[in-house]
Amino acid sequence: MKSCIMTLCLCLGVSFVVRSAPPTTTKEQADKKTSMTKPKYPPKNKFDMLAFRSTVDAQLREIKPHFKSVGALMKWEGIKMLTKACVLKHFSEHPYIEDATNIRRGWYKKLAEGLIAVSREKTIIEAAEERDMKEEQAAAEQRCVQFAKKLISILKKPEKVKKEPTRRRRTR
Amino acid sequence: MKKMKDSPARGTPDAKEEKGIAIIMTLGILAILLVVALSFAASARTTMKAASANANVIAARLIAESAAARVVALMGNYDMSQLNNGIAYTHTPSADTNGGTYDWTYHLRTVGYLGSDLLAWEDNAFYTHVASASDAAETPYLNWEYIYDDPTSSDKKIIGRVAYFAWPLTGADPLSLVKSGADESTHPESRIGKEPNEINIASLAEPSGASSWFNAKVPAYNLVGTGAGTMDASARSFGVMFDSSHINVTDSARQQTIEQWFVEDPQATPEAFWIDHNDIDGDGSLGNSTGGTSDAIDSPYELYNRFNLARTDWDDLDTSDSPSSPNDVAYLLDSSSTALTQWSNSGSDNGHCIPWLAAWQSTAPGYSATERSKQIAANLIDYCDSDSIATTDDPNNPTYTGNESTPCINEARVEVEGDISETTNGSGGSDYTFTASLKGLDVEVVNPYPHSTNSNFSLQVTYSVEVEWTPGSGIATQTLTMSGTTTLSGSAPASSYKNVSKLSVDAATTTVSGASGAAKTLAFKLTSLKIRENSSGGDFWDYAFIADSSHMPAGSPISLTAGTPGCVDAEVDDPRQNLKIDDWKDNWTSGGSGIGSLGSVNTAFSPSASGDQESATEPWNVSTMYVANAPMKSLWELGAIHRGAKWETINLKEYNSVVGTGWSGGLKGGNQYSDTTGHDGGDANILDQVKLTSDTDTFDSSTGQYNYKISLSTKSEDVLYALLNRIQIGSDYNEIHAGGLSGTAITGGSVSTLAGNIKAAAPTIKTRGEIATVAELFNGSCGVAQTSDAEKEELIGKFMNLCDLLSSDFYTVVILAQSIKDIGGVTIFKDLDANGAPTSTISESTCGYDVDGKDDSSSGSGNTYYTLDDFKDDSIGSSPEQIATQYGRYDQYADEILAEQKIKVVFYKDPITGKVTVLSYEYLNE
Repeated sequence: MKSCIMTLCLCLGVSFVVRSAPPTTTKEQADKKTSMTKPKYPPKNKFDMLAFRSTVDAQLREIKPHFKSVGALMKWEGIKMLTKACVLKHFSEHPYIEDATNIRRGWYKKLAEGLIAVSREKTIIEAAEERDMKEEQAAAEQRCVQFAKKLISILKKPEKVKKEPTRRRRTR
Repeated sequence: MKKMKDSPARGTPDAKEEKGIAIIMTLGILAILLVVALSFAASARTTMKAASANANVIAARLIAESAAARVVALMGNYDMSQLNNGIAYTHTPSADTNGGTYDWTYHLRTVGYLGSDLLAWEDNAFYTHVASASDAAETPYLNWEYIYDDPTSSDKKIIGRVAYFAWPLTGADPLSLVKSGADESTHPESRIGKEPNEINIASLAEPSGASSWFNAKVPAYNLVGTGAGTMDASARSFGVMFDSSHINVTDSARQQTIEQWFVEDPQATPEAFWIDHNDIDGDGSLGNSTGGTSDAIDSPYELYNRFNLARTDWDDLDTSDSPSSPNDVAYLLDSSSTALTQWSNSGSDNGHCIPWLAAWQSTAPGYSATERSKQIAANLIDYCDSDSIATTDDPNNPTYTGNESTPCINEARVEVEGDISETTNGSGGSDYTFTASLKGLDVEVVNPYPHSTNSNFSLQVTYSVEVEWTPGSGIATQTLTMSGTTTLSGSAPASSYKNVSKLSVDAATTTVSGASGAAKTLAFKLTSLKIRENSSGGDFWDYAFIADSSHMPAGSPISLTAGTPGCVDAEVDDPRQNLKIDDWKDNWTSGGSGIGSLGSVNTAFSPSASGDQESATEPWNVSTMYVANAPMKSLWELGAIHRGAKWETINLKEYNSVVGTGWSGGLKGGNQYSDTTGHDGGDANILDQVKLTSDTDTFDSSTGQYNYKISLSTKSEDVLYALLNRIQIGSDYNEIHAGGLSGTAITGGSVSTLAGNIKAAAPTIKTRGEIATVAELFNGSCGVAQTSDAEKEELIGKFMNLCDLLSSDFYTVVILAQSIKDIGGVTIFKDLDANGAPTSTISESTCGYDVDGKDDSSSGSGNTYYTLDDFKDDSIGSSPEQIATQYGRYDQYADEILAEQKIKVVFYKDPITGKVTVLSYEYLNE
């Protein structure tokens, strides 16, 4: 069973592209191909919602400290940031994310995409620093901070799931 | 008056006293008659002897004349070395009882009308006898050919014998050494190596010290209308040249000095090269020839049109399509019979094919011989054309790209990161998020050409990077692929590097579930990296295949620590040789982002390690980094054409003797760069196949300019000295086109020595390119240091087109014939050692004579024919003073040499038709 899942994952694995200069916007980032592999999970009644919620909460707790200051943000490696963004992206596509956390999967998606944008700029900053490309580094830092501000605003306002009204309207 | 006394009457006493007078009278009359008869007898005897002697002379003369006819008839059968060094009446000693005799051949020695010794072959390596060799081994050398009364009879008798030597007449054409508007007395010539008129006439007099009087004559050699010039076509005849209206030289010694430099009334020679294919099917066509064995005879049908490197249609050789197309390369390499055409004096022909490139033999790492051939052809085209568009077969997937004077792709670096995040997935296991990032892509471009005017480039980089995660724990290996195309741009002016980078190029991710605690072992490999370079305006400049799925960096996949970047860097050694993966892969390294040498000279840069082996610290310091973007003006420029392997340019410093004149069971072209032991390397052969004019012979009918070349087989060292004198070493290729030739001019004793080196080598060479076998042309023997590859090739490149080496056109033949009385059947006694006993066994050294008549050298050290005691001591061992004569066998000191005749014939051999014309016929009495 596991091997079937792995094969499926592999077949469905699609890369997403983060393009470089000219500077990209959040909207552009959102347009990128972000197809994810989708592991197969057990039925809801057999799924450990608490454990999953705990995992999600832990991941969010790990993110928040990096956005306390520009200095903290600059210390966070771009690849780690990207990986964390992909984890959030994975959460956004998880079948039980809303059941487990009561937060809209769209919020996780916005968070992931925002973090991808920041990670991209952070990667540029690191690469530019290695190459002593000061202009590129400064420009990327500026963009990074802008993206980070938007990300912080998203991060501060998780969007709760509002299930009932929607169901009623649909019943009618 | 006194009365006269009467005669006594008969019967008188007085009458009695007069009895017996009749007998006396009778006796007297008889005595007178006897005297008269004797005188008549003596006269008759003398007349008979005279008639006999005359008959012997006539016989000798007829034999000599028959030999002259033989020379004419057989001239086409001699190989080039013989033709250019002198043809002896050769004979195979073992084929005849009398083979290999040389006695009296010293009589051939003749002082020529040029004042030189026509038989000066003692300093000629080709005709040096081997003292210890058997007669059979001396086959190529001069010896007697015997004439018999009935050659097929068993009791044939010798009636005479003949020997001859044909001496080529080679020298300079005075009219070809002068140029309209150029004053020879001021040394105005720029020695770029295009036309013979670059040779300064005054140089001819320098080695012999004749400058003291000749320099005053030099202005008269200027073309009519230039300064004090008197030269015109009529003055090629010595008589006119010397007269008072021209150079006005009356002193015979001075005339002879001048006559040694020039050929009188020469003929134009073909701008052709020789493929010694010996077309045995006789169809006269190389393309469909069944081929044969090279016979060293430059038959007319083996001469082909040279390719004109000065042609002006380089932008589109094949006019049937667009410029810079692959058809232009195919045009240059088309060796079919319709393209590689036999020479004919059509007046103008640019040539169609360079066989040296078309039949290229050697491969290079990643390049087949055919691909390499095309690469070199493209390089040649791009050197000579006016555009800066690299010639290629496909700009998106090339198998060759010509070298233009543009920036080159020189280094590439790829930086990769990977990471894995494990999260509890709520179903008893973990979700793993595996990410990879192509963090940076760097390309270094170098403009290695010091005179390049192209700088603004655009790169299209196509990449594919795989990052592998091997988790174990029952989870399959995961591979993330990042691939795509990105563009970079920048500017690299002449002699500079430019590093351009793309940051955060690409990223990929995947998520899998599995057991918790999987390993985080990562690795990556570059499965594709190729870069196309265009000008900012879109012209195709360069291409580099750096990696593909079957040619990945050494050590792939390269291990990667999660969260830490890894990097691979690829460099080329020679930026002109960067197309194929093999040009790159040996220089892959792995490590952190700091590896590589972006923006500075490559670590792999090692011009001294291969090919031209130059010492340089930067690419633009390499002497051959030049692309003219103009038709060639000097054959020296061929040395700047890249040869399709790192640091190799066309090697003019070596002649490929194995390939020789280009045929060995098929057309043969370039092979190894160098092969000093097997002599299957070097490219000097190409010098035969190219020219710098559209003219099909050495006369430009459109301008009336004479461009008669100096024959390398000339025996005049003065001429060879002038050919080399004042060539500058240390010029810049660019100065060939821009003018202002710099460098140090060679002159003086070093040049004289070099001329001697060429003269010594010339007898054994068959083509002008083969003169590259003279090592002194490249090693500084000219008196000026030749350090760089360009300097080493500068000398040969700057005189090669001014000279040639086909079969000589003019010959002087000296023929020696003897009529012989063949003695046979008796034993002749000769007291050769003058000891009074003609029966003793003697040695040649004892008697001081060449007893067997087969010797040519004294004590094995000399090589002269022309002294009587010139022999080696190889006594025949029996009793030479007792000669048991035989008919049909030459028995020296027994057979009688009755008469001798020497004649001198001057004739012209048409190099194409082979037709021989006798110009003069002279009986010599010396």
